[in-house]
Amino acid sequence: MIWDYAIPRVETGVAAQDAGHPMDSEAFAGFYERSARSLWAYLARVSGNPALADDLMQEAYLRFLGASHLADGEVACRRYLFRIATNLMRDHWRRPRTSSIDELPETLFAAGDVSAASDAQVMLGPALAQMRPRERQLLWLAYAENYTHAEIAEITGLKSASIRLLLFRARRKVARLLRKETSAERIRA
Amino acid sequence: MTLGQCAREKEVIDLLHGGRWPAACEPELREHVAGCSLCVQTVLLKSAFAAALVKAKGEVRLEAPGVVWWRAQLRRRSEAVERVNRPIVRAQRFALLINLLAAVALLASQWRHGFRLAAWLSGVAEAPVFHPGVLWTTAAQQPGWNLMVLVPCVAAAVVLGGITVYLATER
Repeated sequence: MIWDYAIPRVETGVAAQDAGHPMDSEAFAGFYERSARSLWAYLARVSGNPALADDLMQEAYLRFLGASHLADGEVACRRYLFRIATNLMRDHWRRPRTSSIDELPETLFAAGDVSAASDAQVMLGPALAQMRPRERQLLWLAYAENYTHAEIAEITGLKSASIRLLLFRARRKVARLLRKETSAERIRA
Repeated sequence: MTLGQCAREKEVIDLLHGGRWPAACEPELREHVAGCSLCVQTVLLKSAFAAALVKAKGEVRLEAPGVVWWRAQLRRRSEAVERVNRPIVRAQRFALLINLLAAVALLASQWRHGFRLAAWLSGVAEAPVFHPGVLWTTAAQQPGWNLMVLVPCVAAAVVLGGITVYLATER
């Protein structure tokens, strides 16, 4: 075509970086290996649906690679990736035809293999099932990913002050649920 | 609402982050944690979420990064093609609209004159535009005609040339 110059070719290797990509394929491979498992864990545990987590993760990486400009540094890129994933999850819940996260069965959150885990770890699944999606999101980002309030605010698009309050409430709620589940389990045992 | 905070929570978090809890924890801090509901909560949540993260990371089946990269490249390309084609699609729609308007105008004028299409076509065929000899004579006699003939001719040539070049390069 006469305007071939305007259409990017399907590049592999370092050549892609020259074609205007913020990250070449080798750098991306490293970044993917380091971030994909955490991203999937976040999506799967917050949505409670591993199949949905697969789809959203793939879409998140495609959008990440489609971005014309990426922030410098792996930490910022990772934060940006989580932000994309958070927005995708939010869009998915907003769609009218899909089931709301609140309607998902509790079994989706329950831990499978419990042999080696402590009481609190085993009970986290059922406890998370009783939390709201936003609460699950905040707790996961804060306690599994160790993000600060400011970083969580950047990822979720909420204000830092709101994060503080929401996280405080969510934390109190999940701790109460964990304690309740753990004592109930002890009584059953 | 007061958001509870403990001054020693950061120390506990640092130990948990570094994987040094409880082994590297000083007895004094451990004593504090045992008596502080906020620090107990922090330890409980941090260890539960850390274990959940490790477990979830083991469940994922990752695609090869090359496949993801390749898909992203294909998407970039198809988006770029769509972007480039957008003005052409708009021009095609505009041309279709003009043609429809012309057809409506023709039908309206024919309806007004009783649908005498054959008579109208013969009238058009006899027009000086289709008879170069008559056209040049008229143009020479009336200077305004030069522009009236030249501009549409040049415009038609440009449009046809553009279409030819587009089709040739497309092929």
